[in-house]
Amino acid sequence: MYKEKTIPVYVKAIEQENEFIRRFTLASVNEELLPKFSGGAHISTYIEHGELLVRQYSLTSNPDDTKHYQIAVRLSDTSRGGSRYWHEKMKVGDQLQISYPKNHFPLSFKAKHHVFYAAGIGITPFLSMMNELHSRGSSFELYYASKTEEACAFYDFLQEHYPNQYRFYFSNKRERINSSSLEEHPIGTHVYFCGPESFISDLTESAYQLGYPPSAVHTERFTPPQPKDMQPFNVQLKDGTLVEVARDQTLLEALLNKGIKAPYSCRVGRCGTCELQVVEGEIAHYDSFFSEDQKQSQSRILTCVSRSKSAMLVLDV
Amino acid sequence: MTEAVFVPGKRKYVFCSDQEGIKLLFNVIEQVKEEGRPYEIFKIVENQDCLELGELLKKQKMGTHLYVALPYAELEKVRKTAEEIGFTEEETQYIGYGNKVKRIFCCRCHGMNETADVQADILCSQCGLELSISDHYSVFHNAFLGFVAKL
Repeated sequence: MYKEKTIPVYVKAIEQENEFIRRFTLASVNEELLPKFSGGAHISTYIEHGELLVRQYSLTSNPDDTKHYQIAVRLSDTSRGGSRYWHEKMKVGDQLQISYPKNHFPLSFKAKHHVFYAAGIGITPFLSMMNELHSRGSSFELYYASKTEEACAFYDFLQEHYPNQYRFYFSNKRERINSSSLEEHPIGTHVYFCGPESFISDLTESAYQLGYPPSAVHTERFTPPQPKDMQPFNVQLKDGTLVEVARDQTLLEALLNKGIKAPYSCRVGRCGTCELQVVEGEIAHYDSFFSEDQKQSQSRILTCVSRSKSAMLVLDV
Repeated sequence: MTEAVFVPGKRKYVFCSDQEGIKLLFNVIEQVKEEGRPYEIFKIVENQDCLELGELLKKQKMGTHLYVALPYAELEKVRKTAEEIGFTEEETQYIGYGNKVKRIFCCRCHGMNETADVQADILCSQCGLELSISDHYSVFHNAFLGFVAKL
């Protein structure tokens, strides 16, 4: 029933990191070793709760530890069921399915120095990355913005493990990550941004303005950039079937609800798995997968995030 | 690359060349001056090692663009130094002049050969195999693949 191969796991431990964030330790149901992963990797979690809740979480544990995985889940103010389930229903011993680890946010092998910029829960992918770099003996530093010291996830962990490599910025103390720190990074540095959309886009723009080459700037968006005003639209399939996509629904969700076996994986417009051919209609692209040329060709769509500008989209499926 | 191209929007430009090579960078230097961007020129004298240049390059911050104009034979040394420090392909332009010598990688013994004439077949200097020169270039070896000329 799942579109991808999954691993059955159970919740081995739950720890309250702070008021909003819980850490979950997952282990294989058969007590087998889990696949190894690389720094920055994430998994999809599949929870059956009336509907199937599919969510992506960065792996925060040591990439070399294959006995367990750990994820950190922030209770989202706008939870559509995923983080709320993790926080309110999930108990130690509960079973669920997870995907194999995937990595859309890998470390550069060319970099001489790595600098991580995190805001809030955006810290999560950097934990495994720092772990990997630390064991390799590579140089890195972390700039980490949080509302308060109390809300700052992994505050103690970072102080204990990387005492000379972090700088915290607490907005309740009027401290802000300033793009001027980008001016100080020596040649050969790669920068990695993870946090809210505006955090990522401001830093990315500043880096490009200084002349950073695109290959030295890495970003991870937890949510794809979305239009402020989502409009409903219709799609027509090859056999004439009409599918309505509601305002608060993605094209992928609409197709799956109709029982159409549309492919997908990441659900945030990064991996390209859900690509479908478009015969007619104007696409509004919101993914970070296609190149500008591919987007302009208006011939394919990533159904998990992109929508239609025209009232009707004709798909080649 | 035979001609330097001005890349706009960099915070700083570093030029590295000898007396002859500076002529190849002249146009770009003029453009950088016009744009009022900071720049630095490092002059290389014949047979100089890269230590001093390395020191200068290490001090550069992200957003710097490097231009190097030197005889082909000298270019590789500087490229290696810059790459080790962290300058990537996107942040550098290497402009060679003078006699171009191609490195040829022998498909049998993996020995390295050098030749100025890339049309003709060569004999591998190590194993004696007659090699045709392909246009298959390896960045890793900085060499073209030489393959068996006669079966």
